[in-house]
Amino acid sequence: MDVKTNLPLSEATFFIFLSLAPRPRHGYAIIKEVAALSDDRVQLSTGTLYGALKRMLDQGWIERFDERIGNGREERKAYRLTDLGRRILDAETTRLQNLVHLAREQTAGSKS
Amino acid sequence: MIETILFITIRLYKLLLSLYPAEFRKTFGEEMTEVFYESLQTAADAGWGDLRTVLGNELRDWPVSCLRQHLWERNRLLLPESSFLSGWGAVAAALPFLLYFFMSFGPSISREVLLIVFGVAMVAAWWQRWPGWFVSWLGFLILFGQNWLPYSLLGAGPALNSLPRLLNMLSTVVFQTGWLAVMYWVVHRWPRYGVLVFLPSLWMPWAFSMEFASEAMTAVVSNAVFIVSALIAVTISVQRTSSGDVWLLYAGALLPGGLLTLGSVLFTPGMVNAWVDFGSHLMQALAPFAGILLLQSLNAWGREHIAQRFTHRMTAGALLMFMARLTMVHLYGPSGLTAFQLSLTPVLTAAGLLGVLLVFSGGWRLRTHLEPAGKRHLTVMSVMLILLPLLYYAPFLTNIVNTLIYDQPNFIRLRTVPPALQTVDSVVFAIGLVGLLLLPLTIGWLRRQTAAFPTSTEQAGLKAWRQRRRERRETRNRFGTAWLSPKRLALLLAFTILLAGGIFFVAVFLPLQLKAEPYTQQIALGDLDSDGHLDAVLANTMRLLPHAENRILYNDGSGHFSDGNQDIGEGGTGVVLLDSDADGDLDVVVGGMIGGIEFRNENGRFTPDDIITSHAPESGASQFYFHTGDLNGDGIPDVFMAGCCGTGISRAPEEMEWVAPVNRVLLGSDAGLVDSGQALGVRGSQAVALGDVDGDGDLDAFVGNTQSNRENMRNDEPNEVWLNDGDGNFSDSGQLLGDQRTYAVALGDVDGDGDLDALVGNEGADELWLNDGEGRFTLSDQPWSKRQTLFVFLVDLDGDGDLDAVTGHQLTGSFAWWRQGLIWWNDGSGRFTRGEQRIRFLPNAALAVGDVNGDGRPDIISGALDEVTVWLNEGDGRFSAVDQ
Repeated sequence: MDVKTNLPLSEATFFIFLSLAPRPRHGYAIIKEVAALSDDRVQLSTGTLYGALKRMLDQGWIERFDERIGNGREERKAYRLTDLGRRILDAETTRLQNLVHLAREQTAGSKS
Repeated sequence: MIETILFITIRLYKLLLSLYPAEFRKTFGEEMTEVFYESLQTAADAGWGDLRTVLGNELRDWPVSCLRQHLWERNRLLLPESSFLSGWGAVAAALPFLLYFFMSFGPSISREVLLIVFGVAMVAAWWQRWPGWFVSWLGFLILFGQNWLPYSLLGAGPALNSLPRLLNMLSTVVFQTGWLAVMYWVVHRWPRYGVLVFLPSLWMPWAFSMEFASEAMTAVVSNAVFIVSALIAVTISVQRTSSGDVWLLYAGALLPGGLLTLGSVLFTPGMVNAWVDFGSHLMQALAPFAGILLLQSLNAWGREHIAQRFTHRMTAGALLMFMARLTMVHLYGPSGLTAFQLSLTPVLTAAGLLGVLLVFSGGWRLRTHLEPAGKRHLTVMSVMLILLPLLYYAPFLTNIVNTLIYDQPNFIRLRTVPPALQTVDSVVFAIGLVGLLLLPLTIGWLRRQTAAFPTSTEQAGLKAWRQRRRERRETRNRFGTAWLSPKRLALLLAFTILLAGGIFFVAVFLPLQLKAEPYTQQIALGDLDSDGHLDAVLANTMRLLPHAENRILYNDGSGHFSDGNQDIGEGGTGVVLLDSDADGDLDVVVGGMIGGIEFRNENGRFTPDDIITSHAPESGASQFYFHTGDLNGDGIPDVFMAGCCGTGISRAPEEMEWVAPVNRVLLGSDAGLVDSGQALGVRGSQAVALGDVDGDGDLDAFVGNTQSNRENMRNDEPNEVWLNDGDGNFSDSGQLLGDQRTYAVALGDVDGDGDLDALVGNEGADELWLNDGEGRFTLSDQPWSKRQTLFVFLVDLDGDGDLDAVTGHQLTGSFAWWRQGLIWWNDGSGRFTRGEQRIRFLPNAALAVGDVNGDGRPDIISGALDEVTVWLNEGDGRFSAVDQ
């Protein structure tokens, strides 16, 4: 599968990717992590979050699983990146890096 | 406090969640609610600012994320397995519509050319064994064929208009069925763009809006409603297709028809009868839906789960019952049944019972497949649905019983409708309506419950059918499948005719029959027998034929009236009492279709005198209304005769010339009333009040206009003020006041500034026009009733020196059984407050105000045909009914 056909990602999706990169998280934890990563600039609503999660699930970028909490007697749904998801994230990160690199080159030239 | 807010917020959140696609909701709904709750709690701990941020965030994102989710799921649109038409067949089916557009906006095509084109199509259809595309051509033929019928078949009067209306509706139904077949093919051919095809399919409602919109602004508003509803239709189509129900996609596309109907009713002022038009539009909107069910059943019968058949059956049954209900409430006469209506009873009864049968047979078959919870759910829904036919029959049976008891051949008046029955009617109707509204949700729920249904064709007995369908597919040729075999064609035609016929009867013929009922148009009060008490003269008529006899009822002085057995003619549209022969007693002038007739009072007996003004074609008017006063200052009472509503004169087989109604002035003399020869106004006047509006000492006329036939039947004619020069010669003041149909006018100084103001009773909201003292009127911002107002009176009811108001209204919907009188108390400055008391009177009765028991306080009288009801003024602001 050519991961580049799925790029670019929306900002919300990219931040969700970033929040899941270190470790799996459940829905509320994703919201909090995205807010923290973006300095509270990106506040995901539940509709936006789960709309994005559904599409990521449908595309096979993330997995949904039952996470045990408390004494292990309760469960809640959590999400983690799949291998395909990590490749998508890497590709998007590379794309953004190239863009930033390009931008710096061009703006540096204009200043001189 | 905070817990309560959180609780309510979560409830609202769940409500918003319900608008997401079902599958999404099922997968993520619970989890989303938990996450939202967690966010809320954290924000609440941090303070109101954070809470507002979270809530605002959710609300702002909800519409977009919800719609996006629906669009995402659209990719899984399920499409019909096959189309009725091939590509060429679809083109052939679409041709009539292109022709229609061409003829609507381009140069006209001669009859001969059209006949040749249609002949070619017919030959091709015959060659192809009457294929599906021919449906459009049938509609086309009926649509234009009606214009070619001999003029004598169409007629000019309202009753005879029923034939072209029948044909028009028939063509609409067939036309739309053909059009939807084309749409079906397009969806099948280009599934990715299937939703878009419904935008052009909405041209039919648009055409309706143009037809019924009587003015530019109305057309703009109606079309705005249409455009918005089209967008809603597309959205709903997108949403519904995600569940795989193609027929719902079509239903979504038909939604604009229903919304447009509402738009027409709400925004088109001055309709003859808004509810009749509402029923007509609604049924026209439903007609294609029924057509879709037919198409769908032909195409997909047995293809889906067995459960779908049963739920379809239940839907059809519920619709049938509901339409019967609409018929009952809005179109049957509350005051009586004609012989025709009575004869139609078995048909409607059968329709209602068929609806019940469909709901229960579908429900029973479903039930056997359901889990216990589903069975309970189904039972509740079924009970709610069965209440619909119950309420449908209860008042109807009452009416039949009345008819049978009184045993009169033609027209029977329902004496009373027990209040308990009305209450039951309203409650049951409300429950039934809720049941109907819940039906789609319930069926959706049932479908989810029955997802595991066997699709076994053996079990459903459909294997043989599928075999036959395969065989039919093999007969496909390049013009498409010959799915309209002679048998099918006959069935389709029968269905179409039945449907259109049903629409016609329900929406056109029955209202016309209803309008043929006898009723009292106006009551005049005066002392006819010189005993010092106010007697009553009732102008009785029917809307189509003047068969109802006018009546004189004598008052015994206590408010009890008895029939005077006087012959004062029949078919009175207006009545006025005046001493026209100056012999000291009151004579009677009644107006009817042939003009005004004077009945001289000779020692208490009334004998007809000359017809004051005959119904010559050039006079235009066919209904007459009066107000009397000394117009030329000679001491003898004169009459201002308002005329309504125009007449169609046939001068050639295919031409009809509309002649405008005019108002006339009849001057009293020793020889009685003589037409002055003045023809005042052409706007169709149905009310007039005389009074000195410009302060020059003579009586001027404030004329309430309804409709004229100028500019293709205007319903929004403004009211006029005609100024008297003192000799009984009137000139137009140039004022055009209001834009609604006006049925009643009263003049009086309501604000105590010494001049006469005008209270105007309209089709919609009533109006109070304030006089500047020189006869110039400006609209007051005083709010009045918005119901149709037929009677207005300005009179000091409470003896406080200012003029109060009494208004009489026709109620609608479930309350159409009654008319209602309202009392408005004046605070002395022209500001009115509506009184608590409601005066309910029969829907074929008129209202009058006068002191009938001689206590000096004005009482309220309603009269219907040959009897009156009196509400005596108690002096404390209350009116109490007197047994007659």
